[in-house]
Amino acid sequence: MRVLIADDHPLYREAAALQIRRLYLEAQVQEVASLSELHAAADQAPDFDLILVDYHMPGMSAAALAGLVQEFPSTPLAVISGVAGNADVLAAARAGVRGYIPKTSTSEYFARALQLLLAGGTSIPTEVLMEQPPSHKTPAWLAKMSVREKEVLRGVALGQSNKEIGRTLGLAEVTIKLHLRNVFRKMSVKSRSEAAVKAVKAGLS
Amino acid sequence: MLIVDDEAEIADVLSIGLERLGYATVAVQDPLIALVAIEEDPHAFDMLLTDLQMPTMSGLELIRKARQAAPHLRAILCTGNAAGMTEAEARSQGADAVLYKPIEIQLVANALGPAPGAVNQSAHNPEHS
Repeated sequence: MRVLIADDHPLYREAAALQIRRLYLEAQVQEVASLSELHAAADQAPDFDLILVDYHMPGMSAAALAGLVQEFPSTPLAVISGVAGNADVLAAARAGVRGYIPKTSTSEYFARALQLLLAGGTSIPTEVLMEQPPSHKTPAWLAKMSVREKEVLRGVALGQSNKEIGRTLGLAEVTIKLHLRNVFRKMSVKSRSEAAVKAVKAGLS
Repeated sequence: MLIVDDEAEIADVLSIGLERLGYATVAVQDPLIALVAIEEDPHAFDMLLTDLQMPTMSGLELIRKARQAAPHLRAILCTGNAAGMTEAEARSQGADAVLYKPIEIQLVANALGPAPGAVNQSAHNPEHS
């Protein structure tokens, strides 16, 4: 069995190769560090049984991934990536890859994913696909806020006390307290921490 | 400037509108909270814009009590015509100016005078200058 691992991080590449050799004693694992090296390796001997590709190595993109899928139509091709966000997984699946293995996955998960891919199946983390992509729409509560209220909320999101926020904005502490009442009301939150979390999620920090 | 109106939407509109004209504003809906804030730090505010009719305390009572803690406070009373209070009566009870609802932001700005660092401020309303 021949496996090609393309990843510009030698440590991960070596760890993955080691695990594959442990799982499949007969496996011949070839390691490359870039897309061009991958093409060079494939030119020499294209008959791989599995190709693992880092999504964030030099030269890689969703289009390049789709090109590889076309280039190796009968070889299961899986993405290995340190980032397993909704958008990346979706882009990889759309490019036609059969697998997406987060680098943070356990060795058991990795072994199961290889088993599925080599058996002709797929291994895409559907729980990531089901996540809602981050919304870029301005929340309704943010649109209702005054400039000053946003500044106060930004201070809360940074973990500042009322006194610190007041000092930064040149306002009395009591004024910050009153602004926060309005901020909490508009955000429909009951605590500073809840407001901070909501503010960070909205990109206000 | 401290803005007090038990209707949150009115308080918010006044606060944001006056902020856009350059005033440093903060709005509250409960006059009791406004009074506590003024008593806690009498120098935090130099202007008070308050509605007349509110459930927990009238605007005139708020002005009177606020002045005990902060004598320097300029106070503007907002009232509906239906309240039947004349400007002279309001002024005699402590208001520096009276505005009648529906309130226009620019009229408030005229009554307050120029905001520090504000631009495009129109002249004072002759009625209150």
